[in-house]
Amino acid sequence: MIRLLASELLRARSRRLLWVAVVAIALGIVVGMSIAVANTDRPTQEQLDRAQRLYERDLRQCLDGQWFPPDEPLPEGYTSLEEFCNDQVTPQSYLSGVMELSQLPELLRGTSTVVLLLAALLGASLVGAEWSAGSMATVLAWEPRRIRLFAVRAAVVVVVAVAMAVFASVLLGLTYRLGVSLKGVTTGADDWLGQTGGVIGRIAVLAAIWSLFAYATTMIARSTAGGLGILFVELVVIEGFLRGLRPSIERWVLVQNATSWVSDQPFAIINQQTRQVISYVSPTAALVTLLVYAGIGLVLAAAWFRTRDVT
Amino acid sequence: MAVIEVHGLRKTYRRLRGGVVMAVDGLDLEVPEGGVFGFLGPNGAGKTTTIRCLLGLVRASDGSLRMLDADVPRGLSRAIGDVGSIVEQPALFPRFSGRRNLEILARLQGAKSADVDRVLARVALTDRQKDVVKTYSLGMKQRLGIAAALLKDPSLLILDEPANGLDPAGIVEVRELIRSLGAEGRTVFISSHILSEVQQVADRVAIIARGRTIKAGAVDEVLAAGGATGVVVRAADLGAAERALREAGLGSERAGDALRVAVPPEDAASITRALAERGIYLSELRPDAVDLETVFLELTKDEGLGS
Repeated sequence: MIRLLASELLRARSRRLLWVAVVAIALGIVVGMSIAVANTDRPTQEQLDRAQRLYERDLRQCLDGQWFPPDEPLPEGYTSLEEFCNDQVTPQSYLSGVMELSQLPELLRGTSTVVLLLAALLGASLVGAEWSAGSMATVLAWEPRRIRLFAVRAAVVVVVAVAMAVFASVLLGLTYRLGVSLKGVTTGADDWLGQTGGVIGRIAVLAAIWSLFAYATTMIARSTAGGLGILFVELVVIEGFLRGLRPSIERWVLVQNATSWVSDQPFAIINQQTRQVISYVSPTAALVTLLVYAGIGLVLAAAWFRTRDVT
Repeated sequence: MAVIEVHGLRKTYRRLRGGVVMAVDGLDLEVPEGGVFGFLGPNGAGKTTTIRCLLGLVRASDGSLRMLDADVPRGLSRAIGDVGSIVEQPALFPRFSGRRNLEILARLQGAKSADVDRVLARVALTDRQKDVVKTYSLGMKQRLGIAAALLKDPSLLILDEPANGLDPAGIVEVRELIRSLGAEGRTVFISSHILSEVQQVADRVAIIARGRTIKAGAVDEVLAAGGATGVVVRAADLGAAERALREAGLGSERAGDALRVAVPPEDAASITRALAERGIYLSELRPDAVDLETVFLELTKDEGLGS
């Protein structure tokens, strides 16, 4: 098993796509951040004082209960008004066009879509190229235990996708931190490192799941384009259609669950007739849903791979 | 001991538009240990499908397969470490170097870098090891495939059409390689439809057509079955020799600058006697050997594949 893993890691490491992706990510982030820093000015003391005053005013209003009618319950996920207000009223909301360290987690969440697309591409390509080159037969002539091969490949896909997600997120974080040092502000960012680490962890988990979806569909379609095509049809066409047809199905939609997990925010299930909230789905429940889907996809793909001829 | 045993192998494929294709139809095969075994048949006879079944790439519809004392596919993982193979074209990553392709496979086997060097030298690819495979000629790709198969230092080598698409120099290279591998005590199982090639390297052959074994055995036995019933005679005066044989009641016909006499090789003495009595002396007398191609065409005549 270790030999197989070592072989598969070397194969993955040898793929040009991987290194093209690394260079593209690095270049994109460095160039993008350089442009952002060049077009930003450090705020004056007067701007900072004004923002601080507005922030303190709104926080006070929120804590006084002015943002909620007295009889309305707190949204799902909050246990006290203070917790809600500290979450909703943040200093960074009162400065615009400024690089704020406290905004880094949000920036990472915003760019996670690109990371996830890349994870899917890698997950599909790492195995799709094997089918295109016909080298799956060669590998099977060395390791005929297909389920073992399937499992090791899945592990390699996850390792590569997670490494890529962490690399992109950390590089983005570091360049942003540098930009803040040059022209930004660090107000309200006492726990920026912990929060950023948490977001990167969530993105990495989601990248792993996304790469497994792509891996599973590619093993079924036996080509990179086919695998990504199936994923595209599922995410864009089928889910889009189902959401339009029956909004209550959102609980089971991949994109909705992924958004909830990466943003660490629950999402509401709403009764379309009464417009009442039926229930909330927590980020953890969203993650479990995604893991169940990934598991089903992998089981189907493994069964398909095990039984079908390789010609 | 047989290193490959196949009994009653059947493989059918379903057509997309309905119907069934019978790729292998009750094939029996026994490959003894050691030497070179030729697995012959025209395109579409079922050679590659049989090999794919042996390697577990394709599931047999019926029949039993054993390789190196292991049931296939159930026990294949026990035997596969001792089996090197190429199925059709060697399928390797075209954008990786030859060496990197071998290194990836070497890790599967726990082989060292020195083993990669060894097999590259064996197939004379050391100088081109760092070039990407897509720049290799067909012959080089074939040799790289053989190098990959040799990484396991296998006791059984399965090579599917190893001379396919090669130029004459490439064919000679691969032929020599196969011959030397067989001489080392390994069993080399080669499938081919280029019968003259196989005849030059194989000790034993099996001829298949339409998914069934038609004839199997030592090359000499198979050739004999094809009917080596004549003797070739060469003399200074062919016309006189022809007349002398006719007078002795032995029919003959011209075959280039020789005569082909229709007597079994074991009765060649009757020819020398008839000619010597008439003062005609031979410069050559040999059995009229048939080649595998002729035998193959003869044997497959009834299958609708012969000429």
